Amino acid sequence: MTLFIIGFIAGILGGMGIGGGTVLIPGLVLISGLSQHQAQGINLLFFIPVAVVSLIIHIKNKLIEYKLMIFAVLAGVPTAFGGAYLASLTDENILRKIFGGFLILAGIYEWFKK
Amino acid sequence: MNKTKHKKIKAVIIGLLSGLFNGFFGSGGGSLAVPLMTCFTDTEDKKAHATAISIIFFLTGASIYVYYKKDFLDFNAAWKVIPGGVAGGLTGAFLLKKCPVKILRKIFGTLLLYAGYRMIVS
Repeated sequence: MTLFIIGFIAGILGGMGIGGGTVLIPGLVLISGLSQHQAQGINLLFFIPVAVVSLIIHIKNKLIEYKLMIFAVLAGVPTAFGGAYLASLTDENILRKIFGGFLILAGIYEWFKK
Repeated sequence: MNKTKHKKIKAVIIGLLSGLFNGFFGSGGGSLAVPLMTCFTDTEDKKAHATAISIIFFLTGASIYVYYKKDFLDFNAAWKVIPGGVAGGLTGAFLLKKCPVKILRKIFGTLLLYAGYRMIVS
């Protein structure tokens, strides 16, 4: 039940366009005791159904810039593999602390952006 | 001609950075790609948002492959979290019309600062 509620709260924020993963990952780690790596894995899985639904709508509304997309995907797939591999080599405690630092930067950004 | 070439290079840089973030943090590719696109490629907000999702969709596929191979995917937990997320997503989209997003962002920012602190000290 706790897992469902964490997903629900992250989903609300995601649906409002405020941010989903930045709430989901710390929620899973701090409240339900998953490892940092597992929490990140769930966030990746979580993104797929949400993305499929919104992409169907965006394709219909012709909002996707395909040229930008193709070049970014070709460049980004290798670094995604690399980044994920790097995460797998990183100690859980260190990865969690780096993620914490990233959250603090995101929090400061939320406060100061117009 | 020159302008389209620049746009391609910018798209490549956006892809490289978003991919690295997506793989390493299992998130955050979008919060990086959207502002980069609106700032540097003069793409309007809505299109940047939609295009970012399309890019991150593929990047996430690559990241998931590695997380799966390294046995970081807890499917038991995922089956409980994801339905909650879908229900929450629909609720959020509905609430969006009724809530003052500006104040919510400040609350959200404060929550992030607190969560970040806890992640570092725990």
